[in-house]
Formats: sequence, C-alpha cells, structure tokens
Amino acid sequence: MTKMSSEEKIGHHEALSLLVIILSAKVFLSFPRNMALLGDAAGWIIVFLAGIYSLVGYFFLSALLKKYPGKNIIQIAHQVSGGICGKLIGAALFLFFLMTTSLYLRQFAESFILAILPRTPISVITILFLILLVYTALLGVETLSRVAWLLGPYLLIALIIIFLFSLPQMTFDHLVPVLGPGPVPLIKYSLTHLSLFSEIILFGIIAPLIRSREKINRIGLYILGVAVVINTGVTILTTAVFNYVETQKMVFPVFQLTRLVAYGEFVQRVEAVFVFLWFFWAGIQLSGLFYGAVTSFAQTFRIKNYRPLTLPIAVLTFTISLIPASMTETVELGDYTTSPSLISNYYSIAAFGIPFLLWLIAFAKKHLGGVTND
Amino acid sequence: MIKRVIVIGLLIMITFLANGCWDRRELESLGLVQALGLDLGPDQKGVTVTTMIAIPSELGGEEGGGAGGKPGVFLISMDAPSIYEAFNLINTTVNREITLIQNRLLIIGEELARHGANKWIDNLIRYREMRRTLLLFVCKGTAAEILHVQPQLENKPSEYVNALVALSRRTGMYPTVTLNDFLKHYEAFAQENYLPLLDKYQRKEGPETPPAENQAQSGGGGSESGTEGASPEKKPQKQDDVRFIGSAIFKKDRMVGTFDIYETQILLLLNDEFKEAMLTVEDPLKKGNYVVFKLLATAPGEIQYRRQKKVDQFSVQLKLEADLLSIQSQIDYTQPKLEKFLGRVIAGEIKNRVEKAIKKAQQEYNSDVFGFGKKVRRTFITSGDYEKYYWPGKFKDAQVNVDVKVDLRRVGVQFQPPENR
Repeated sequence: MTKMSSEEKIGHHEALSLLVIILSAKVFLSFPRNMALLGDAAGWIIVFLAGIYSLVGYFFLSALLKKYPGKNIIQIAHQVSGGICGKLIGAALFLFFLMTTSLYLRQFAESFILAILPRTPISVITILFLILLVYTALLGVETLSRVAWLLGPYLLIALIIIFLFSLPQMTFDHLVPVLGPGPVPLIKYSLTHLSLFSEIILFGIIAPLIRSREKINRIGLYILGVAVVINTGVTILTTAVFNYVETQKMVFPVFQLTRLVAYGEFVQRVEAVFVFLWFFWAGIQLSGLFYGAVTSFAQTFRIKNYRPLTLPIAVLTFTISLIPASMTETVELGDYTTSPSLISNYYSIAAFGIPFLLWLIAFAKKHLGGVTND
Repeated sequence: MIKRVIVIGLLIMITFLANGCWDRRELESLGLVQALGLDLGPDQKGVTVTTMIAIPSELGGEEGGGAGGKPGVFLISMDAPSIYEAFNLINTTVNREITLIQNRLLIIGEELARHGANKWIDNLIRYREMRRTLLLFVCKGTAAEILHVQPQLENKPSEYVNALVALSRRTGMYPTVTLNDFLKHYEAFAQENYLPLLDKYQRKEGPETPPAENQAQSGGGGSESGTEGASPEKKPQKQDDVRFIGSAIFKKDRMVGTFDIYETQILLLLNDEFKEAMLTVEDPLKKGNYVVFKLLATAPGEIQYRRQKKVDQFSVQLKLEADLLSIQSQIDYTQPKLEKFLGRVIAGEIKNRVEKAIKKAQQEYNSDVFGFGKKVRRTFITSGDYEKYYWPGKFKDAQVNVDVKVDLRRVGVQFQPPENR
C-alpha cells in the first residue's frame, strides 16, 4: 500500500484551524448573497440546517476513518471497492478539488480586482496566487497547517472586529419575516445545497496524518461546528446590516460591510486592512484545496511522491479558472443559486455521497460475509 | 553561484513589480472630488454633474489660508447622459483624473429628485469608488448653485457641510442619511425615504436687523413654518449661505414633498434618531409667555401594531424627558406638582405635532417615512406573504394612536425664577 511521505504529521489544532479556514473562506465571496437569494431574511437558517445535515454526512466519513485507521479516503476506496472503482472514486475526488480550487481562485481574484486592483489583469493575480499555491504544496501540508494554526486566531479576531464594528449598524428588524420563503423551501434548499460544507472531504485526506488518532472523530465534529457558526454568523451579519433585498444584489457583501466600517472621524476607510484578512484567508484555503487536488491525484494513481505533480496541476487550475467568461458566470458556477447547478450537485455528491457509498459497501461486506476477496 | 543568480534575478524582478504596474495612481495626478452635485440635465433625460474638486496646493497649510483666503476648491459642471460619462467629459478639460475616493457628499437637485431617482441609484451603487457611507442631500433649486456657495467659517465647503451634519444630533432639525440608509429603505417595502433638505439662506446683516430677532425667528417659537428664516427677497449682491430647512420626503424613488424643521424633529423622534433639541411652548398659566426647555429622547419610542378586521392599528408611545431652560412668566414651575403639570402640557404639544406630522405623511404624501412598515413586517412569517400584503398601499388608511409622556427631570442651576417685586 502506498504511503504518503511518512515524515508528514500534523497536530489536531493545526488540522482544525486549516479545515475551518477552508470551510469558511467562502463568506468573503458571494456566499451571503446567495443565501439571501435562497432564503430571504432566513438565509442563515439554510446555512444552519445544511450544517446539521453535513454532520450526518460526516458520520459516514468518520466511521470509515475509524474502521480503517491510518488510511485516507482514497486508500479506503481502493481497499473497499477494488482497483477500478477505487480509481474512479479517486478521480472523482481529484476533479472535485480541482474544480473548487479553480473556481475559488477565480472568485478571489475577481474580489481583489473589485476591492483594490481594478486595473490589474486577472491572469496576473491568478498566476501570483498560483505561485503561492505551488510553493505551499511543495512544502507540504504540515507547513500549511502550521501556518493555518499560526494565523487562524488572528484571522478570527479580524473577523470579530468586523463584526463588532458592524454591530451599531445591525437591526434585527432586517431578519424578519422570520421564515423567509416558508419552512418547506428552507428545508428543501438546505438539502439541495449540502455542498456548502463539501470541503470537509479534505479531512478524509489529511485525517490519517493527525498525530493523536483517538481525537480524529472529535476534531471533524469541531471543524464542522466552528464552520457552521462562522458561516451562519456572517450570513446573519450581512442580512442584519443591509436588509435581505440589498444583500441579494451585492457581489461581495462582506466587502461592502468592511467599507461601512467607521468609528468617529479617525477610523474610516479601513477596508484596505481587511483586504489582507481575506488575502490570508484565501491563500490558506486555496493552498489546502490545491494540496487536496495534488495528493488525491497522486493517491489515485499510487504515485509515491506527489511533488512533481504540483506544476502541471497548477497549470490545469489556471486554465480552468479562466474558463468562465465573466464574473457572473463564475459566481453561478462556483456558488449556489436557487436551483443548484450541476457543479454544485457534484460537490455534494463527491463530499457526502462517496463516503456514504463506501460505508455502505464496507457495511455490506462485513454483514453479508466474505463474498468478495479482501 | 546559481543561487546568487536567482537571488539577483528576483531582486531585479521586484524592482519592476514594486512599481505597482497597473493600479499605480500618483496622488498628484488625481482630481479628488470633495462633493458631487446632480441636477436634471437640460434634455430632461441626462444629468448635470457638478464636481467640487480640491486644489491641493491651496488646501494644504493651516497657516496659509485663513478666513477670506482662497476657497481651496474649484467647481465644474458638465451635462452628460450618466454620472461617469460626465467625469470623462470633465477630464477633457481638467488635467487630473477625476476620482470619488474622497467624496463624502452628494447633493441632488430638487427637480431631479422629483423626477425620480431610480435611474441614478444604480449609477451610484455599482461603481466601486462610490462608498455607501456617502451622505445624501436634496436641495431647493439646483445643486450647482448650492455648491457654489462659499462658506464663511471654513475654507473648505465640504468640511463645512460635514460639521453642519454632525450638529444634527443637537437640534434634530434635519436628518443625516447615508447612501446605505437610503438603499436600505429603498426596496424593503417597510419604510419610505427621507433626505435632509438644503436651501440657500441670506444672512441678515449689519445694523438694520438686530441679531436677537434673527435668533428668535430661526430658533423656535413653536411655529409651524421653519422656512421663515430664509428671506424671501433675494439680492444677488448679498452673500449667500447654505441652510438646512428640514427634510425631503420620498415615495418610492420620487420626492413628493417636504417636512419643515419641526416636522423633521417629529420624523426623527419616531425613527429613534432624535437626541435632543431646545423647544418652546406657550406658558399654560400665563398666556403670551413662553416656557423654554430642552427635550431629550432617552428611551427609544415604542410602536405597537395590531391588525383588526383588516385595519392596521398602531399605538405610538413616546417617553421623553425635558430640562427647563427658561420660564418667562415668573411662575415657579420648579415644584414637583407643577412640574408634572408642565410635563403634561409639553406632552400635549408634542402629541399634537406628532399627530399632525403623521397625518401629513398619510394624506398629503402617502409615504410611510416613519417606518411603521417595520412593525407590520414582523407579523408575517414568510416574505411572500408580506410582499403580497403590500404595506405601502395600506399606510394611508392606518390608524395611529399617539401617547406622549414627558417627565421634567432637571431645572438648570436655579429653582424659582427671579421675581419682579
């Protein structure tokens, strides 16, 4: 069985902060707007419910990780479903990471153009980002997760500062009508938009690297818990500051929020400071997803050293990120409008369907006896 | 060796990159707009944009410009189909790139406001340089005229207006509204918009009018007309000032009318934006005299909503405090018993004003500037139901009961008024 470069080991704090950053980076993009589109004033309920469903989905992933200790999701797939099926599943996960990396890369690049660099060509921003991604992938996930743990608390503090500065602007009058489009659509949308937390599948890749094995299950739960709190909180925040009608129309609501920050005559126009916040946030998130893409490819085809793959996959990411013709197209593809796009459905299936399928097969194998070879 | 080459190569690359290739903008090449004025264009479709551009060399040193120095800004107007096209047109004559990054004020001419702001709203919010913290104003006449007024106390007209805006919380006579506030009300079906209204004002100068009378006229008397202070005859040779004369009331995107400064106080009171103001009521015990007090809004007003048999009913409860400032009649109101009585009198007067203002909004303008719709929205569970209810069409027939309670808290540093014995 192939092993990942065995020297890499990560602590549970590091894994926690890395995954939380990855799961909640989307709040800086059109995420709050899409939630307002789906759920009017009750967009946050959709996020919250989707988070709870993801916990159920995570249960299968964690059961697999527990059953096959020391193996990641792709290795488990190889073992459970055999060679070809395992390769297919691995390829599906590779595609998932490749798509998320490319589309988030494009959206973050667009947000930087909008926020501070209106005249810089998009390819320049993307390439500079990719240099960072390749570099972090070469250094490995251990370094990346340490960076995440190092910066994570500060990033969280910066987010809390935005929150505090926005408090005077918030009115809870904007959170009514309480149920938005009504209870049935809320439940329906939260089910169809499970992909909100699909990046948790990266945990299936890095979990075997965590030093304290007995904590793996709990860490996954914490990750989802914290991410649900952050994502729900930001959705509430934007809806309460601008009302839902306004939020539905903004490209990047959190960016608009930071532009409102003013405290007296002195603290004004501080959004440039917050651009750093989401630059770091985006850098860590994209690096994590890119690492996922590279390693899942390596694991699928049992390539021992994933490092030579980084450059070709970076080029692939660059190309895909430039496929959408306009910004609206990117937002539609990458995020989740009223009817979930093919890509969004694919995200949900990759992140929650695959672990469920593997779990079913493993369960069947155990209980139906040794029908297949082991 | 190779390492060294790479390092040197990187260093050289950095010198090129650090220039900030694309988004470099030298400060000297920017025309910083300080205030923006919009008027309806001559063809009724386009817009006349007036920009107030800073002249950095004259704005700079503190000691350089005293009162009577150079204005530090210059104004230029252009007719164009859109705001940003006007900027390009301005840049055919102004040698600095027009930018809104420092702009804080937007003044809209009355004609444009009455014509409908919808077209221009999108124009305002889509452009990345336009911030949502922008302060909005409507003015009588044209915005260009207002922007041309050179204030006396400050060199920079935009700073002058900024400082004036900050005073709103001392008088409650005009609102402060940012672009963000405007947009929040704009589409929510819950509240209509109001903007501060500016007008030109001619100071009464010199010995012909004693300053005392000037104060009495603009300062109060409890009279309904706030526009009294603006002198009707306009002599061009006299210097103009800018003055707030209340607020402009909108219905959807159109300005439909105005509230004078006293009605605006009520408007702000019901919106929980009122802080304090000096007011006057006639002495209830001795006619012809006034009792002067400072009204303080310490607790937010309460508005309760009930829907009975398809009639929207509101009960407004305002709890206010007052500090006595002056008793002209020499009656000693500084006893608990009389204080309560005086509180009731003041409450009666305020209740009267609130009812009048609400009636005006309902019957004349049919525009819910007070935000009653927010209470209505709370009673609906889904947004579909609320939008179907269509509150803006129902505001006109809503019943509003007003209940005002005023407590006299303090009497200044004096108990009994001096007696004339």
